[in-house]
Amino acid sequence: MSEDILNSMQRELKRALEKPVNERHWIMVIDIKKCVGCQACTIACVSENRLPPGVVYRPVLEEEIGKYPNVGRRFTPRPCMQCDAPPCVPVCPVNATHKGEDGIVVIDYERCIGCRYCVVACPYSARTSDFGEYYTSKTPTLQVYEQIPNFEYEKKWDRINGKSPIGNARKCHYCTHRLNEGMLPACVTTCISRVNYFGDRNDPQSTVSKLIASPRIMRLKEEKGTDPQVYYLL
Amino acid sequence: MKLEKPIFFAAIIALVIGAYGVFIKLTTGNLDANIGSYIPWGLGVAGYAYLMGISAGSFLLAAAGYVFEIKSLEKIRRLGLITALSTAIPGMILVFLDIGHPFRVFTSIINLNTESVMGWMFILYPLYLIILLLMLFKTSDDSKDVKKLAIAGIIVAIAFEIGGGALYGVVGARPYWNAGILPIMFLTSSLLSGIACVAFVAYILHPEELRNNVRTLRNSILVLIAIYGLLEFSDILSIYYSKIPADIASVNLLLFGPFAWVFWGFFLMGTILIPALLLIFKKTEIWALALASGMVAISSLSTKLNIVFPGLAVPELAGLESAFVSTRLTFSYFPSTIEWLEFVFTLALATVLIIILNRMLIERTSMITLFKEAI
Repeated sequence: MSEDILNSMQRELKRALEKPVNERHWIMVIDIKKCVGCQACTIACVSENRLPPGVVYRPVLEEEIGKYPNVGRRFTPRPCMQCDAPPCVPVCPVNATHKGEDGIVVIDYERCIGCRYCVVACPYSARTSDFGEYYTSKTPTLQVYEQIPNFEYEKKWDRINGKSPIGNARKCHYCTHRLNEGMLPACVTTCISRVNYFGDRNDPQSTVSKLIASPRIMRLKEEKGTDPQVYYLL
Repeated sequence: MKLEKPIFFAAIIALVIGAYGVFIKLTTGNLDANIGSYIPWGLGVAGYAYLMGISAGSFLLAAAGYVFEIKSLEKIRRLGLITALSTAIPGMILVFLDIGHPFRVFTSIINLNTESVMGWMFILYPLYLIILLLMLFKTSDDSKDVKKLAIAGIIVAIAFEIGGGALYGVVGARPYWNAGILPIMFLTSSLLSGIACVAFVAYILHPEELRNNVRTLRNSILVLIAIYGLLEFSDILSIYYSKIPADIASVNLLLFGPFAWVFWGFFLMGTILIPALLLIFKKTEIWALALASGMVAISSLSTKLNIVFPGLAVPELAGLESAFVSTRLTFSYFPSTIEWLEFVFTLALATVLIIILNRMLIERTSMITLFKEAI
């Protein structure tokens, strides 16, 4: 029986972490053909990052294609593209978002004023706003799972009393808090059909480096020149 | 019949009712607003752009009066400054309340990103307010200082209005917005709505001044209506004839969508056709100028609605709306009661400020008298 791809990617991840931050460049490859549209990745992400109502980092877009009798469904998971030329960064009036050395576009929750200009400027609708809602706000008690903190960007965020990330723009960050602990992003480990490949583009031996050399590779809205770092295998 | 008192009375009532919306916004943020992540800018942002547009336009009229020393505009220019201040303050309140962490705005002093068009607003607005306050309160009306301030103010007002258009124009993600014509449209709309607002205010507070300036104001408004109509027409046609379905989706929404009445009724009839016809066929009638100006001043909100919402209400990727269902993740938007109340508050505040500042700075009468008369 062949080795689970997660194990080899885990080893690659640890290898990348041994390098200085500016020498690694995280990317994701999504094999659309394998996606069954179960949305487990979406839910894993919601759970990992304790996302409130209306905030989603990784929806799975569903499209019906073709006409009867040749009908099919296409599922396209859409995390943040972590663009190398991100249009969401220069529009921020207070420099609250920037491209990290490891290629991840990050948000400084404590600096973000919540103007939502970055939300508007993203060509992939990858940023959502936290309006301060709770799933159980209209029930007798706010459930515990909504009150426990999340650890995005390796900080503890108590999402209470209007404090950040309430009022902020939020987005997928490839689970930086997991990565730096040597764990793959939650969406990658959760996927039942191993649709997601994750790793260091700067490592020529990594799975992702080999995959992006495939002629089956494409990226969303490539013509915009934003240089997205999420690749799709068709 | 003098309209000042009933308008003041109505504005005070609206201010009190609208204050509830402001209170809710201050205490719970955007929780009760109908904006979401796919339409993240709503009535608050459109209303702010509208009020700042009126402010810049009325300031530019007033400033032109000072710089070019236009005799007939002597009294009306002061009214222009009052209108500019009275609309700028509510405009800024509206956008302040729309921000997720409003009090962090003040950290922009140290964190400012000058690459961002919005970042420049944090420099231009305070400058504009300082210039306005200095012109209104610190100097005598004929001093050379006022002229210098007016020149500086013209630069600042034009910069933030052009910047206001550029704020949308630079967004490459939205084909409907991403056009060089937008800054010019903002500036023209600003001049149109600002001058119309001053004319309407003059009719209510100083009708004799409107009579002295019928020709100047009528011609200015008429020319600006024609230019803005042409700009809107060019903008729509240039996108429409691209024949790229994703790009023309916003235009289709504007012209034939569920809120098409904003374009056909509010904009085309209210801002362009009826005011233009009134000004063309009732050249000398002061009531026609007042009516046309009032219509333009109010309905020019549509010039901002026509830009903000169609640009946002089109999915950037197919299947986005059904991918993850939430009331915050939809492409339809209608303002909530709280948003309307907040907007009513700002309009009422602008009205009250205009009337009070007029009494204080032009008529120099006691405010107590005004309140007593209104009651």
